[in-house]
Amino acid sequence: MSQDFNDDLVRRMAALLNETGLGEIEYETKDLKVRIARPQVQMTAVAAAPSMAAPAASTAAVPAPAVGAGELGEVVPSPMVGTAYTAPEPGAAPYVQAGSKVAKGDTLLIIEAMKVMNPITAPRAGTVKAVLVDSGQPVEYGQTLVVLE
Amino acid sequence: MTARCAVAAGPEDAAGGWTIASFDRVSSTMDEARRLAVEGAPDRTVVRADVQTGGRGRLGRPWVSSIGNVYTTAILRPAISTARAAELSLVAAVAVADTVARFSESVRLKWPNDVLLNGGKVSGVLLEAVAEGVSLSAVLVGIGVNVGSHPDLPDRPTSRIETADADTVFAALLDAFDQRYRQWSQHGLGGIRFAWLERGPDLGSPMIVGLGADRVRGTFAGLEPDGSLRLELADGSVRQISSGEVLG
Repeated sequence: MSQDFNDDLVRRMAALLNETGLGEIEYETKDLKVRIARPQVQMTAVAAAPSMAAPAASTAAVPAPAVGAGELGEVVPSPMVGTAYTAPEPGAAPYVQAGSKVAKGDTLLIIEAMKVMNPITAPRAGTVKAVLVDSGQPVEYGQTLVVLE
Repeated sequence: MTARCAVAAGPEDAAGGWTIASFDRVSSTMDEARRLAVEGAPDRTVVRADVQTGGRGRLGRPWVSSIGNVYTTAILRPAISTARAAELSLVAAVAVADTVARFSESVRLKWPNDVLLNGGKVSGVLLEAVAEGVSLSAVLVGIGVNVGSHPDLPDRPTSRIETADADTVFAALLDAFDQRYRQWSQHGLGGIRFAWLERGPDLGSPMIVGLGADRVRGTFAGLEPDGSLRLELADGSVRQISSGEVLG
């Protein structure tokens, strides 16, 4: 990892990759070249969605969270380390559950980090196929939270 | 619900001043701020209420909101990724600590944003990100400060600022928040983190952190550059904690 490794740039590019559904994004300046590519992984099971690996070097391909993988649907990864909350408060109805119809931008769940409640929203309209975290569960960066179909 | 709404300009600076929407009574300043944010209220809009009828803390916990205390929520629209919104937790903590320090010297911080005066909780901070599509649209920073009274809580001591009234404390808070938010916007978390550590626990002091149902014991080993907590465990390793409850 180089001294000037810019993880914010990589995160933004990874997010852009997810947002656009592109397979690969390359960014180059005079002294920096970053390529973000989607791993060519065909998901065989929902639970096998790979988590975000630590980028190895600024010039290497960085695995982005696998999304839009075929018929199994689109996984929604966690943009941060934190604690997942699937309902607004304990005992309340969950934001979504398997079978819920969602519109783009609907809140799927909340990730709390440093006491900031961050809504994780649906990247597109669809039906929730699975919610893969429990309320109160710690989550890692890139961990699959929800699968949409 | 709102008997009065006065909009006034706050402290001015080169980046533009604050717009203050004052209410006699709201359900909660967070709800009012969310409504204004969705309607497009600009960065640095502040909602203030004399009384909240449905004040709340995290996870729907009620926040007792009698008259005489400060109840306010700032609408911020920083151009950052969602992952960096957590930094505002420390910005708020340091701004509240600055404010309380104007009236009393014995101010301490508990990670990430509890402000203690004479060992009691004097303030509550609640931050909620607002998404627009999959992007960060705004961050709502809710701050309650005990001034006229403080609630009796079963699980922890509370305190209040005894030497000023709510208007004076609110003005001081807005001034302190303006300075710290500007500092963060221009220079990032570095100086904020430093200011937090000055009022945080002593390095090496014992600490218990709740992580879900687990309790982890260790000693305070500072903050990571992103503001997350460093807890040194008995075996000498350091655990980085982004989400947890400091219990003691």
